[in-house]
Order: sequence, then C-alpha cells, then structure tokens
Amino acid sequence: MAEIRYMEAINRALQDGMAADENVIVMGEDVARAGGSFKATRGLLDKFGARRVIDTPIAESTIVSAAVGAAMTGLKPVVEIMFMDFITLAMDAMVNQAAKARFMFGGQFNVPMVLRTPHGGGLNAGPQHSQCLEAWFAHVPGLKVVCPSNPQDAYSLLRAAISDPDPVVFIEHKALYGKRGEVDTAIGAQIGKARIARPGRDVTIVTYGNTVHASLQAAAQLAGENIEVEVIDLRSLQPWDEQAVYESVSRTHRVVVVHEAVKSFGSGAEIAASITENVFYELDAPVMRVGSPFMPVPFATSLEAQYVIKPADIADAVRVTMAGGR
Amino acid sequence: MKRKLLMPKLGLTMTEGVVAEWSIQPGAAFKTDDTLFVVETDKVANEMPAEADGVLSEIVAAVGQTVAVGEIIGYWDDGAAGEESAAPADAAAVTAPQALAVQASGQQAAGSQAPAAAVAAAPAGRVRSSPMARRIAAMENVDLAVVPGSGPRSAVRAQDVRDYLEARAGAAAAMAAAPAPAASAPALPAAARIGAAVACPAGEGAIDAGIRSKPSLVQAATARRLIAVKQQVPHFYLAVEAEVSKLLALRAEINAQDPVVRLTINHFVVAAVGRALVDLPEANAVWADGDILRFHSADVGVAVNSERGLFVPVLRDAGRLGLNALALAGNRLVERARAGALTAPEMQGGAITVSNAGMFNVKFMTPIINPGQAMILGVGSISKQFRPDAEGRPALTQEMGLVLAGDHRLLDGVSGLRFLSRVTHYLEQPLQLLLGHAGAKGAHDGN
Repeated sequence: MAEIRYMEAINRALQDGMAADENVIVMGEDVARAGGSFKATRGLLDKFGARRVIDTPIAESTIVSAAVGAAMTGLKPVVEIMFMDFITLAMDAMVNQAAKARFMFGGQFNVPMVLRTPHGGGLNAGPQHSQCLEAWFAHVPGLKVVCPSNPQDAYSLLRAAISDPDPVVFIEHKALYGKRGEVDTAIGAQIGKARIARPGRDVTIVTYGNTVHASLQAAAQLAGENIEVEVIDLRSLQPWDEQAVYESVSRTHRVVVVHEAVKSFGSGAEIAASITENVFYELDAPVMRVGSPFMPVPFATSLEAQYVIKPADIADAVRVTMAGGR
Repeated sequence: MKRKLLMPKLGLTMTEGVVAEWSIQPGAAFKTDDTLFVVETDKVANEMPAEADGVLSEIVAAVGQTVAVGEIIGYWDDGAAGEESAAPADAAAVTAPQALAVQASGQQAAGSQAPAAAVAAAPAGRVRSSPMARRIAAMENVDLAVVPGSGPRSAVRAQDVRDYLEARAGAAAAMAAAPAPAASAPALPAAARIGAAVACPAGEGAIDAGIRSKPSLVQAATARRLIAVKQQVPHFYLAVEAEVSKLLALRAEINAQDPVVRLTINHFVVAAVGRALVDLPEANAVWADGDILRFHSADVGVAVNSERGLFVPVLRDAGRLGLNALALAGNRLVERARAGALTAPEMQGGAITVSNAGMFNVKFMTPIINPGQAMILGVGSISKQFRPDAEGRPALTQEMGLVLAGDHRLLDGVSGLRFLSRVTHYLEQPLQLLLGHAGAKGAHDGN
C-alpha cells in the first residue's frame, strides 16, 4: 500500500474511474495540457486523449452547463472548477438544472456528473479564492456534497462520486493537496457514511475536511487535560451521517461542531439543530459551534492567521461545553 | 361570582392527577382551609384546601377521573356579585389553593406572598438544568430543585444528579446501618423515609448540625396521612404467635412440585386473612365518616415496599381465590407497585392490609392502620422455639409473630381476637386453605 499525496489520490481516482468506464470525461480550465492548477489531472490527457480530457475556455457557466447536458446524454463528466469561489458563475446550471433534472423529467433523465472544486483558506489566496461555500449546495435538494479529509477518502469517495447516478459536488481543501497518506484502491466508500477519526468518551467533535486535522490536534491537546474527545469525520455533508452523530452524542452527551466555513447559517447550525431535535435528552450541555468569523477571508498573512480556525479555538469550545456551557 | 377549580400541579413532574374524592357535594358551603377535594398522584392523596369561604356549585370531574394539570374539575361561588371573573384574575384565584398545597407539602417556599404573587413565583421555581440531568432526574424520581448545580449560574448537570443520588444512597445506607429505632421498622419504609436526608459528614470534633432538606411530595403526604390516621383512629393491638410448622412443610411440599407460581409465606397469610374475612363478615367493615361500611368482597391490601415509597394495592376477593390464583394476582400487583404502575382504584377498598416484615429479623411488627381501613396485620419473622409439649417435654416449634392493629371504633378486643384467632387457625391448619372455602356457598347466594 503506497503512501501518496491527497492530490495524487484524486488523480488516481480519476485515472481509475476513466479506465473503468469510457463514458467518464474530465472538463475544466487548464485540466488537460497544464494538468490542473493543483496538478490533480496531470497525465490524464496523455493517457485518455483530448476527446475525454477537455480544456475549456474561462467560462464556468458554460463548462457546467455543458457538463449537465453531456450527463443527460449518458456521459459521466467530472468538471473541475479551479476555486470554489467561482462556482457563483455556474449556480444556475448546478442548482436549477443538474439538481432538478431527474425530478422534473420524471426519472427519464439523470445527471451523473461530478463537480470537483477546492475550498478553504490559509494559503493567502485572498477573499475570492478562499471561501467555503458547501452549505449552499447542501441546502439544495438533488445535490450530494462530499468533503474528504485524507488521501484514502479522497480516492474512495471520488470513485463513489463518479459512479453515483446523480450530481455530486466534490469538495477538496487546498491545504490538504500536499497531505500524505496510505491509499488502498480496493477500499470503497459510501457517500453519507461518517468515520470516527478518534474515539473518546467525554465530548464529540463533529467536523469534516481540513478541520478534522485541527480537531485531532485539539483532541490530543485536551487528552493531556484528561478530556477524551471523540472526533467524527463526516466525510459527506449531504447526506450527513446523522445516525453516527446521534450515537456518539448518546455516549458523550456533549458536542462541538467545527467547520471552516463562517459560523453564521453554516452546516454546523443544521447539525446542532438536528441534534437538539432528535437527541435533546442526551445533551448535558449546549451544542457549541466553531466556525470562521462572519467576514470575508483576509488577504494579509497576519490577518488570515487570525481568521483561520486553530486547534486552540476548538479546545476552548470543548472546555466551555465540558463546563456546561456559557 | 363563579370561579373555577383546576387540577393543581403538586410537583415539578406532575402532568395529571386523579380526583380521588370530593369532600363536599355541590350546593354545600365551605370555609377557608376546608378540604374541597382529594387529588391522587402516584400513591399519595393530597387534600386540597379552600382558599376562601364559598359554595361548591358544580363538579366537572367525577371521582376516579384522571385530569390534566390546569384543567377544570369544578366550579365554586365566592358569594360576591358579578359574572365569572375575567381570565387573569380567575387564574390567580384558582391557582391560589395550588400554591397553598405546594407550600404545605414543602416543595417550594412561596413564602408569605399574596396569591397573585405566588402565581408569579411558580414559574420562577424552574430549575436551570441540562436536558440529560432532567432525564436522569425523571428516571430516578429526583426533584431537581434539591440538587445543587455546578454548571453556569448553578445549572444542574447530569453529574450533579448522579452525585446527589450517590449521596442519598450513602445516607440511606448509613441510616440502615445505624442502630436507631427508626431502622427497626423496615416494614414501614415510608415512615422511615420521612427522616431520611442527605448525610452530612461532621468535621473533627464539631457538632454535626446536619443538613436540612425538604421532604419529597410523597414523603410529606405520607407523613401527613400517617399522622392523621394515628391521631384520629383509636388503635388497639393484639399479639399472638402462630405455630406454622405445618404451613412451612406444606409450602415446601407444594413448591417442590415445581408449581406454575411459587408460593410465599405471604400468599398463605393473605389467603388466611381473606378466609377469616369471609368467615366473620362483621370484621369486613370500615368506619366511614361516622357510618359503618360493610364490604361484600373479602379484599385484602398488601403492603409493598418499593423505591418510590410504600404502596398498598388491594387484592380483590382474596378470601375466595384459590392459592394459585391468589399468588398470581398478588405477584402481579407487587410488580405493578414496584413499577409505579398502580392505578388509584387498585389501591382502594378492603378492610385490612397485610404488612409483612418477615424477611427481616423482627419478632413482632406493630403497624399503623392504612388510612381508610379498619385493621392491619403486622407479620414478623418465623423463629424456632422450644415449647413444652403435653407432657411438659421441650418440643421444637416454628412460630410466627403476628400483631393485629384494629380500629377501636368498629372492633373491640373480643371481636378483634375472634378475627385474629381465625387467621391463626388457618395458618396453623393450612390444609384448609387448599379447600374450597366453606363460606363460599353463602357468599355466592348474593348476600
């Protein structure tokens, strides 16, 4: 079993997915000759040719619209949008077309496409290249939203997303591309299943994507204070693994939800509300949320360092919930 | 002016209550503090006093009816002119007796506030607590108001409830271990519980002033009812020792046959008491507000100790049931009592209760009559004794200490003894308990 980078895991999943099914095509800006701005599509052009690996103009609306149409004719397009921030330009194709085609045409058409896009900050890419907008898509019936935190999940979930008969928004974190990990290509994944990244008895952290790692660091730190934190990596936001979360809450009775997206109206609000609706009497303290401040992501290194979520922020929230809330 | 009477809320967890009794009839006048009606929650009956002089105009909820808290159970008239008062004032008026009752039971200290203020104070009694703490408290029957909270602004958290339960269990264990007189009455746990409080470890050489705490609603009501019955019912006591060697042998023999239901000593005692009631119908009666109320059916109450307090479900027709049927019905009642599932009707009626302390090492147990009944039989443990036989030689016997407490308004020493010797007769000649009852024929004639 090889230890490879997250970015390489994505690349491998694309290769294997294309080899397994000739209907799988890759589209996007600079995905063919340049191999993608984060090198996730490197080598695909040589291997599968220009008919299946297509460089497009800088026109997100057109790219995604074309992919939706192609998917309705039977192809399985995997589209790359260079930064999640640019998804605004393709919103109509995603929200009004891709998400609703199966429903509106009575099942005569489905849209087996994947929209890959990196989110997240910490790389000094500024307010238009650093946002986490996954909650927008999780809110739309008809779309699935996946967000892997490690190379193995990146590989397995991307294979699952390509095989999925409906549109999947596949979100990668820019800061994770270089992260190494063992990948077993034989391991499959089911969209909607969480994993326990670290077992613990005192408090549950529910998180996904890059904040899984910050949460694990916080958990390691808190273990020194005799607080045993359970970290749940959701892996998928829509659908999200409610059962796994409720079971964990029933063991620990305290919850902190962590994500990099801004806290207000974020995924954490949905998860926290669902917990109070369904397992209220398991709670021994208010559900805490850790999310980014409600402001654009700053450009300046010094300001962005203040903005990003640090393990200390998560540990503080855990301590508050351990004390019974504010 | 017409006013509403509402089902009061007598505890944080109460959602409904049973109207156990109307103390006066429509049209009757009452004075402040007169008991208007009795509400039963769990096992306890709470007498609800009138807040002011008035006349009962209408009964909405009949006796035995279960009514949600805050629902109308009747109307009264305060004698003032005018139509039914407006809602806000009305709410204050009808809530006043509830506040009184709550004060009386020691649940919440509403103090000397005016009725309206007391109403406002009721929601303030809400305890800050986590959902999990509330769930554990509900399961363990803990009043959150008495649990010290360690959370923000003294909120009660799950661990606080667990700590409280542990302290309470420790206190109970300490009480049981102490050679205090209270500990020698295990068959009256309700009475013992009245004294139970959180243990307070004394400092070195310091005087232990103890920790004062309010009794639970159940404790307070039990105390009130037992005081009332002990003060108002003139008790007399008759003690005997029944020779039960045959009974023990018979029970062992039956149980050795692997019966459907294993018989306990208590099953035999309840059967003997039931048969005696059939034999002596004049004993199957109670004093009811100056009247003598005779029962047709030989019903026997069975005192059951549970974590929630002392319950007395009534075994119907114990005098005529076969031992098997009696044991089955008795076991079911005990289970229901332990589960807190008894309904009010299941705890009503019967002239006598059997209170068995035989499992504890106590020779005689002198019980207090169950309110509403006329007798109670305290059953002690069985001990081996050497007694002289006919020739004066020591013979080993097995004796069970029995104490009958009777209501002297109904029974005198002679009639009490007649009844007790009938019970003793059945216990000493237990084969008769296996036969169909001699009195059954007459009984089924519809007497």
